[in-house]
Amino acid sequence: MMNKSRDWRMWLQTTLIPGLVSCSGCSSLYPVNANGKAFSVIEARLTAAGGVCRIDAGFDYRFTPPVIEALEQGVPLTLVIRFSLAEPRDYWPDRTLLAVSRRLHVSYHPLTRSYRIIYPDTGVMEHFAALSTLIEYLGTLRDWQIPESCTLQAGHHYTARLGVTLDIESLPLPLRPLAYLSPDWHLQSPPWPWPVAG
Amino acid sequence: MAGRRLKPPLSLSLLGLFLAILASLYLMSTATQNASHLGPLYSWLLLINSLASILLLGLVGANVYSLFNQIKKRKAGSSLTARMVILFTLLTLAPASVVFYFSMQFVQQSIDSWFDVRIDQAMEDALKLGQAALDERMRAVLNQTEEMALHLRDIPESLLSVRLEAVRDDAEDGELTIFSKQGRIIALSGGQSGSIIPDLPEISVLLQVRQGKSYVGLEPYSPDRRQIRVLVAMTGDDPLYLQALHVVPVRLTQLAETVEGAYLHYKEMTFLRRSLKFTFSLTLSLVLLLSLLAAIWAAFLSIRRIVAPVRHLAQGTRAVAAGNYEKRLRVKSRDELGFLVESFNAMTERIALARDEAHLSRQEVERQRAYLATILANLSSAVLSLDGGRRILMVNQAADAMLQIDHQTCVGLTVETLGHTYPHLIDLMERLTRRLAQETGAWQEEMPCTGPRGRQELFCRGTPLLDADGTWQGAVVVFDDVTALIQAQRDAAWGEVARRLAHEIRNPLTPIQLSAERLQYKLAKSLDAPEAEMLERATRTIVQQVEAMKSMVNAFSEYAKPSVVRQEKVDMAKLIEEVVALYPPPSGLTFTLAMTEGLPKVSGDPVKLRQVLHNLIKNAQEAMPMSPPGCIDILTTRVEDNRRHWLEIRLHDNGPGIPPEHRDRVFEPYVTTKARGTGLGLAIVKKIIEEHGGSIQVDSQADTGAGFTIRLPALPGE
Repeated sequence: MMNKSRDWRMWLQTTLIPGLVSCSGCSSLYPVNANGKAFSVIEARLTAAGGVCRIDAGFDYRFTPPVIEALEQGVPLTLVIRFSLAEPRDYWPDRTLLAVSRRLHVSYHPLTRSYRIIYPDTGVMEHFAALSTLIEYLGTLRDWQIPESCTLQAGHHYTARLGVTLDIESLPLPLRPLAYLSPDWHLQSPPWPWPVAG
Repeated sequence: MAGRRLKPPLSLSLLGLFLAILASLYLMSTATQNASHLGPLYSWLLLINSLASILLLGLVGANVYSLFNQIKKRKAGSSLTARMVILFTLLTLAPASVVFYFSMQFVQQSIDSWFDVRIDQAMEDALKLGQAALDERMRAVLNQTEEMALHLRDIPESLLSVRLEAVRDDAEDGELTIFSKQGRIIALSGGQSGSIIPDLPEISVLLQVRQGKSYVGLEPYSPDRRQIRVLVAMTGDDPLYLQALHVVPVRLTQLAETVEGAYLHYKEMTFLRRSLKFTFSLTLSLVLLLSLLAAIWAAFLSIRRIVAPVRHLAQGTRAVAAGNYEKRLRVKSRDELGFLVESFNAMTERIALARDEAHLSRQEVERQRAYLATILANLSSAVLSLDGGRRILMVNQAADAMLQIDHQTCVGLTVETLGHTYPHLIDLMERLTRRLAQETGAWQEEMPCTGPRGRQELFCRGTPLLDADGTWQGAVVVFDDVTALIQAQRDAAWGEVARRLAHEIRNPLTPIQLSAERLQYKLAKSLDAPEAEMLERATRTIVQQVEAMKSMVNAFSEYAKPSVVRQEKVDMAKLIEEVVALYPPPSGLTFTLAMTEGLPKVSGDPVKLRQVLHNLIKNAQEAMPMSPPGCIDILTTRVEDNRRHWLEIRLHDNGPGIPPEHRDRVFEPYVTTKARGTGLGLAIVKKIIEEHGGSIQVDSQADTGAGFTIRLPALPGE
């Protein structure tokens, strides 16, 4: 179940901000992938067995220079990977069965000149000597076990969606207004939908 | 009304709104604090306050637009509202701008003052120091491990475990592992992790070492401790790797992390300096904007309430100016404005009362005026009222007939101008002007006037109009037509004369005649022929003259006798033809008769009417010379005058006519221009016509000969 307190943040990032920031052309100055987005999901797969769902996915992260600069200046970044499972209905909006997210903090440590990823839900920490290594590591999501019960009924068809976003609300407060107003900070992948058969 | 009562008072709503805005602003400003737990709500608060600003901006904009429209339509109180709003806004804006400017300056300078080049350098140096301490430790471990690898070189695998243990004795606490290329553990010494499986390096590290470069790196060991990993390749046919894991002392780790934490925080702060300024400016601007807009909106609301009584007063004044004195304003407050509204109500009430009284008075005056106008219009006297400049203020209808004027066009003319407009009044108006100039009191005078209808005897009375100071302000002049009265008096006098003549003269005539005849009878025989002839001649003369006198006396008697008119229906056309038939051509007269179709009949005595025609024809015959033969035109028509129908007979001869000086008195007895006749013919004609309710006038428009116009009332329905 998705945390309710995150709902409005998601709404802010997905609905309001794109409206406010119409200067999308500015983002073309910075690296974008083949989809024209800074982040994108390359592939995703859902494995369900015994009421447990596991996700394997590949991501393509293209951080913009201002974001990398902020990271190297000590600003920690929070990435949110969101997964949802919905059952399509005829003439009616899809019924969401499941909506979960996973957060991970990325930070730079000047003393050891290394980059670190922390998963706050598990407390697992990973160290990387270079940002490129970190990004490469982030590009692969292996065996993410969905923390909620997930039973797919046989014969039913579902739509799974996976996406990743840079969480602006987790940035330091002074940076938030600028981040909302600047397209450099709107790093998010479009939801990657794929059909899942029960 | 119930719906209105349910609404909270405006001031309460305003207070609530301001408190909400204040709370939102407070929360937003608190959220900007670093340690605030409201940090996560900052974006929401920013959004809410921005939306509130937009809402207030819309409200203020709507109010400004509405006010602009009101000013354009020149609605009451709009200019005052605009002035007050501008004043209020300026008064609010000026101090707020000053505070805003200095606050911004303060914020900018405060943030800048947090950062210092020396602190910056110190932080960099501290970090470098920490890095150097760790590097030193790492280098030492690397050297030590490389030395160990040198010692363990060329030692068979079976002895490596023993040798490793021996070498480790020299080293401090740490873990040494020798493993093969395939990752097979050859020897392990001093396991510190407590795990059976030693912590082997990542594949990338192995790749680096295989290329002949030793690896040294700092890794986390536990949440509060670090370890140094060193990997060195040992020479030989089958290359082996020696890994040393050395835990950094707790104290050193703590110190290094403190330095790193402080450095990171400082770097982050430095990086966020611009953003921080922007955020503070944004918050401050939003606070100012919201406060200003709220203040302006509140100003609009409160000014509208303040101005409301003034607006109502202005509307009331306009209503009063437009004549609506029933307008009453509601007194809503007990302050000076309320007093003003009360006074206005009292004033309009009094004005309404005065208006009603004035209306009543005007009605009364109007009634009096109408009454007077009716009386004046129905007076037989002509009435002229003049102002101080002898200009005609009013003239009644009777003047039309009497003075032969149009009374409606005379108002505004002076007496002199009236004389010029109607030339027949020149003499009359000159006399009137003279009299008005001379007299200061009331006066009266007979003034004859010769108009289109002949001579009129006017009896004129003047009364001056004086104001309170006795100054002459004009006059009222009343004309009475006394022509008929004088004529009647004259006729009555003549009637008396005739009666007396008849009575006094007739009696001695018969004895005179008889005596003369007796004288002739008695003396004729006794006288000789010449004397007898003279006697006979004298006697005949006496008898003839007595006869003449008798006929004259009879005529007078006839004239003086009150006659009895026999009333019967008379066809005048037939009567005229009968009378004319009695004058055949040998009589020396020719007649031209013209009679229109459908002539009405009249009521009267045919004998007397026949006498009228005889008298007129005889009068003409006597006036005309024997040759050439006289010609009389008789025109009979039907006319309508003054809504009455008349039969009009016009007789016109080609004789010598009537001299103008005799025209007025031609109908009086013994007024004649002829050598023959008694002088009573026309008088009798006039008497008979008047006895029949008709009128006879000399036709003064005729150029040659004499003409008479007779009018007899037509029988109704004829």
